[in-house]
Amino acid sequence: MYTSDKKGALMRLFIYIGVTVFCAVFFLVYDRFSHGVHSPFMTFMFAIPMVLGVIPCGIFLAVERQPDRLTQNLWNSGVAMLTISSGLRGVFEIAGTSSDWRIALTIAGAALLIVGAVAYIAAGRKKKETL
Amino acid sequence: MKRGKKSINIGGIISAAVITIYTVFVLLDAFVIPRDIVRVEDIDVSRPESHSSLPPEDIVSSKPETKEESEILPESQGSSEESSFEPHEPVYTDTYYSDENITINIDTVREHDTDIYIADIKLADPSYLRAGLANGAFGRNVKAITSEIAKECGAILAINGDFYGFRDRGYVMRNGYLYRGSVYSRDSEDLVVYADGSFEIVKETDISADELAENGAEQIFSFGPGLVVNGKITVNDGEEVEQAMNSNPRTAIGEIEPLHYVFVVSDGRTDESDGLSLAELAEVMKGLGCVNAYNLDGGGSSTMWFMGRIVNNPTSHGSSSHERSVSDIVYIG
Repeated sequence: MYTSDKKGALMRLFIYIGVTVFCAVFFLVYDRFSHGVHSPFMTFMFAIPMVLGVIPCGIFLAVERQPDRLTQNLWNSGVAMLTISSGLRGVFEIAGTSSDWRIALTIAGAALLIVGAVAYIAAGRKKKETL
Repeated sequence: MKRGKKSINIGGIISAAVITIYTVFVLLDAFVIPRDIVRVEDIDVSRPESHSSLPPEDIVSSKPETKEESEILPESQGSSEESSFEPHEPVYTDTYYSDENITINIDTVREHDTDIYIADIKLADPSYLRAGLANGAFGRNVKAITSEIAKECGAILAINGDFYGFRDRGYVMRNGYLYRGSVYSRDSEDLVVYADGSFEIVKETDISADELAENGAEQIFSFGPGLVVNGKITVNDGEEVEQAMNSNPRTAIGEIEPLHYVFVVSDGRTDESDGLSLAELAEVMKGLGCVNAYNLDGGGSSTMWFMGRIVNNPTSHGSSSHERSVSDIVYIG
């Protein structure tokens, strides 16, 4: 069971590394065609899956305690929403427009991250109590 | 212990689907779906009685085929039934138009490795300086190409406007009607054209759209920044429009003296023309003698249309020349 979790954690780590690289490449390609217009939200979009994905996955591997599937789904969805929201803001800023709908994505993403983190911490405490 | 078959992550799939659908919606809402539409025909914006306009169909049919000088329009094209002006014969070439009330001279100069098209305009009455909306309507993502709007408006000369429909905020007044009065941002500078034809460049945070309307504003454009204000250049090398300080196609409008204006459009993003930075554009406007000059939407939107033909080489990526659909135009007609 532990081995299987470790395999799953490694896979998630590689997926997050892949998403980070994709975001960086996406920025480079987009920047090539944006006629010198820049947005920090596009430039640093890669930082979101890196900081909120690669690093936590690395920590989980190190402490050998993986979150359950629900917590993973909450966290992953939150990271995806924040990453997409950042990318969209970059696209809109470069184009010279904006969208209020995008803000909902940021709020929902942040909320899911908080719920995911709380669920992970609560599960840890419960496990300690049962021991 | 060997585990059984891995279960499908239904929650993950649903989450991914929801995020994807929502993202597509946000993009369509921002760039494609028309909304908040107000039709011009539903608004009581009466054109001054003294205004003379050429019927759009006549303008289209009068497109010059050659560059021969002194082509003369048929007498019937110089006036309309509503006009209070005496019948007259407009005279035009590919780069010149003149009638009793309007004189337009288009010149092409080359500066900063860029072709710059300058339309020098003298009017007898400020009501000849007008704004036109795509498809005769105000609204987000209501778009048409500059030449199409110009034909619909019966324009003689037109340039693209501020592309207000690409944003949800920023003052928008057209031909005396205030469509939008929300502030775009703290630094937004707007061009106000008053009923007497004079220009003023204001900050949205300094004065409300309603106050500008009370002060006699006829048009308010929200793009910017102001390039020349009261005879002084107000941008520097680092000035940016939405973080753009590179050379690009540009569109600007300037006031030289009462009822004497310039429309300026530059090429850019092509092998032939680099484009202009805002500082370079400001220098050009100042050099033309502008007391007030304002930057309108540029890039792929930059288009100058005169008597049925495109004057510049509009392009988004430099690979091909084609007009981009925009929300609005500024025109003479």
